[in-house]
Amino acid sequence: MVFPLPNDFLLEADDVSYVRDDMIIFEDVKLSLSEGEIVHITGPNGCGKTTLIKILTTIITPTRGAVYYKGRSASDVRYQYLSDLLYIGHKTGIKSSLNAEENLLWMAAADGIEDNRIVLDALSMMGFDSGLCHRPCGQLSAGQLQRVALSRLVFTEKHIWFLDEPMAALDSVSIKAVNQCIASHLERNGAVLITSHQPIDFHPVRKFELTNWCL
Amino acid sequence: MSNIARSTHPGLMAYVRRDVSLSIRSNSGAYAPLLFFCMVCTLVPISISPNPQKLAELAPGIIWIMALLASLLSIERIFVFDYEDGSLEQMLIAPNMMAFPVLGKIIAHWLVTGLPLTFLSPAIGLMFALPNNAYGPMILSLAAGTAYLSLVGAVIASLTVSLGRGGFLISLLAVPLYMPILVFGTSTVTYAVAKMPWSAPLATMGAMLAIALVLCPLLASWALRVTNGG
Repeated sequence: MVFPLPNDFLLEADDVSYVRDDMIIFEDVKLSLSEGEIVHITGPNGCGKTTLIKILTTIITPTRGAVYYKGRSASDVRYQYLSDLLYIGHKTGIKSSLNAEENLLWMAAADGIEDNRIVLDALSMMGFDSGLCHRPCGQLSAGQLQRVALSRLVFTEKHIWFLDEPMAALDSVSIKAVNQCIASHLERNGAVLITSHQPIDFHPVRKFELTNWCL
Repeated sequence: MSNIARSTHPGLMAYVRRDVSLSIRSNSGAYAPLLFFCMVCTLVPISISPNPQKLAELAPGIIWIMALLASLLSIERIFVFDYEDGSLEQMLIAPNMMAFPVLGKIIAHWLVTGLPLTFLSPAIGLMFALPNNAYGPMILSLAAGTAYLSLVGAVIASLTVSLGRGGFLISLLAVPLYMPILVFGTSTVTYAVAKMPWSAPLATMGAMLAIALVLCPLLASWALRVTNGG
């Protein structure tokens, strides 16, 4: 396989390896992401999907290899890169003593949005019951919390989305809403990197299989 | 779709406001150190001696030790909830310099624990029959000292954040670093009780606070990156 030049891609992981406690989690992973593309990372439990996403978002430093953003090392263009990425992980950063609106407003501030209207619209688009808006998030179910976190997808203007198991606790209605957000993001030339055990088959999606090195 | 110019990540003041309101909303946890400070200080006159002269002699040391322990009790809370709910990861991928949000969180911690404790200290002083001229130095030294405790404690808390509830380890690591401020804090009040000039130890505390104010947020944000795998 001929590997194109790094600057052809929006995001590229070049021979990334990660070793934790003398155990190889994965080795020499090559992964690229272009504008308007969705990549679905698959693999068995514990194969390092979340770790790979954390490496790509610069939360974890890889043992070997590097991440490139528009052909330049992500650590060199850190400000530009981090300004352009949205990461929603297993832990969504929702404070249990704040209500849904307050939580989302805080997250929206990172996208330069301070408008209550936009935030409330996003919540209702994600199918969040407006009657629950004033309850502290500690009283909500896992699926409802996930909806609050994923409401960011409606208004964010960030280019690269990293979604780690976004559908895990969602019902079919909200999965549809998330899929709609992803589709319109791709139409606007955005890029999505997603891990999910549910099949993602509504789009021309590129699968990336992460093998289990531990076995 | 470039949005670099629009990126207005929450800064220092936003974190101060948010953390203060979070502490006020969470039940009991935030007030526990304050309650502890008052309770134990009340026990001393009852259990040791009601003799005013003896109490005035003991007061600086006891008030300062209790302030230190109260700070130790609460310092773990500064990052552990953010680590557990994922806010810390979002903080790590904010493009801005991380030391400012961290400093915001430290200031909020001080506003919720150190500052109320400072305001409460005159009441404790009354209980200990503290001479009138010692109130001013006590308040000043506690205000500066508790801020120092929050700053240095935050570094330790950031080092132990990934260990879960590392309460004991925090105490073990933080107490040696708290020692210098305890020495100068108690000397400030003791000198005032003995009617000696007390500005030198207070000035030393101010200098220590100034250094900590610059270094600790940087050290804490570096430690948070490292403990999270960066």
